[in-house]
Amino acid sequence: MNLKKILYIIFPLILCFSLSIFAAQPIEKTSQEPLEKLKKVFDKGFEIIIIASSSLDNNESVRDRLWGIINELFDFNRISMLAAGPNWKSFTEDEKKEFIEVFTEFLGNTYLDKIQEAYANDKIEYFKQDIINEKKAVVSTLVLKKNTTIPVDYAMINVNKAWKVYDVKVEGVSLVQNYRNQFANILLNEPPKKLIQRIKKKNIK
Amino acid sequence: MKTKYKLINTALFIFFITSLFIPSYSYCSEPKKEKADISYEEGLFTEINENFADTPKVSDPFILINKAFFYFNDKFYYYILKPAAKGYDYIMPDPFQKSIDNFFNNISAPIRLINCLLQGKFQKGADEFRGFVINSSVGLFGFFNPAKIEASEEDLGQTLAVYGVDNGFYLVLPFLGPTTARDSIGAAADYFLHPFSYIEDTEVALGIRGFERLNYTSLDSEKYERLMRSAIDPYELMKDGYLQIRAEKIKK
Repeated sequence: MNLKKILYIIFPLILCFSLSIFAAQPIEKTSQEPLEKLKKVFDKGFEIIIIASSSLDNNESVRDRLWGIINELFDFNRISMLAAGPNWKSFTEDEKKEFIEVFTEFLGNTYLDKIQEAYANDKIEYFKQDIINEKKAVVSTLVLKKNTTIPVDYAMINVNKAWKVYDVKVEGVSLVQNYRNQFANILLNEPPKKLIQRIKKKNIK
Repeated sequence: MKTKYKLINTALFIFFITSLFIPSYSYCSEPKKEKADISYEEGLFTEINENFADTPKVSDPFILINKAFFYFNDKFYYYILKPAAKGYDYIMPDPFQKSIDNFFNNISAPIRLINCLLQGKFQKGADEFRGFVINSSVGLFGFFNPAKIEASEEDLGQTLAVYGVDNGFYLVLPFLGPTTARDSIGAAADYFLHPFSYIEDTEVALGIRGFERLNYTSLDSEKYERLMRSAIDPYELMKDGYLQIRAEKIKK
């Protein structure tokens, strides 16, 4: 009799426990580790390049597929706002929209050039992740070129349970900071419209 | 038989209750959390935004001359340095390029050592000393790097910075590229510590310096080009890039 009483208590307890584990699992899965996320995106990108090179797809369709992937990794809206810096407030709503559009295209294209080049010539080493707090992290990578090594760090934030890149540091130079200075300097003498025109011109090339 | 049935029945009942209870609990809590997240994210964004500097910290009073030299250096790269480096890279085997780079790195180790000591970085200084002794002997005049020492990259410009000297103003020098008032004074003083500066024939000394630059460029001859491709305003990119690299090195 005694044993049964014990079972009455223990059995539901075990059930509760196992259920809580099941319930807890999907929550943890939604926010991946930052380094894992970065590596996954890169692997996916390289896979696309490999498949494309064997199937003789034209470069443009490869690019389109790669775009989908880097949109997943980079927070282009925030990057654009950070790059515009204190001048962001002086943009009209339309200018804001257009600026994000053209600057995203510009950044994505320069980045994809580098990825495609890196795939052909270099090796990427995933060095370490430095989780500053649950919302901010830095992932350090090394790009191994033929005769040199270039450290590339990705500053990431955890937004809506997904890690996204908001700045890239190449050899210690923050790209956002660099564009911020370039744009601040242009916006000293020119209205935002002209800046957008300049970036557009670069995109056509 | 009856007790067993009862047992399963209660178990199922409790399972049913708990399974109702647990998901509903997490459903209730989630929207609340997300609302809190949005304001938190905004806070995070302003925090990140504030981490970036808004105004260039270094003045540029000679901007017109600087821009002229920037333009000159740009053309010098595309028409002379890059083709030369590419040709050199083509005929020179990779290990040789690496070895020559090692040699030039090793011969300037005493300068770095002195600057390490001046900045009170004794561990780095000791590493430089060990590297210089081992690489100069076992490493055959520094062509090899058996000490496996990574150069500390210390120079007098950084030493001056550690002692509180500001950048002063920004400068672009012909052939040598971006620098600041402080860093150019530092580089000039470092020059007198460099053994090649005591070669009497200036043409030979300049030739060696030119060769050093050629070999270094050949290690990654498209670096400058890659940089320029990502520029909206190339002059400002270079200026900010230089200042950021220097600030980073001073911190190290």
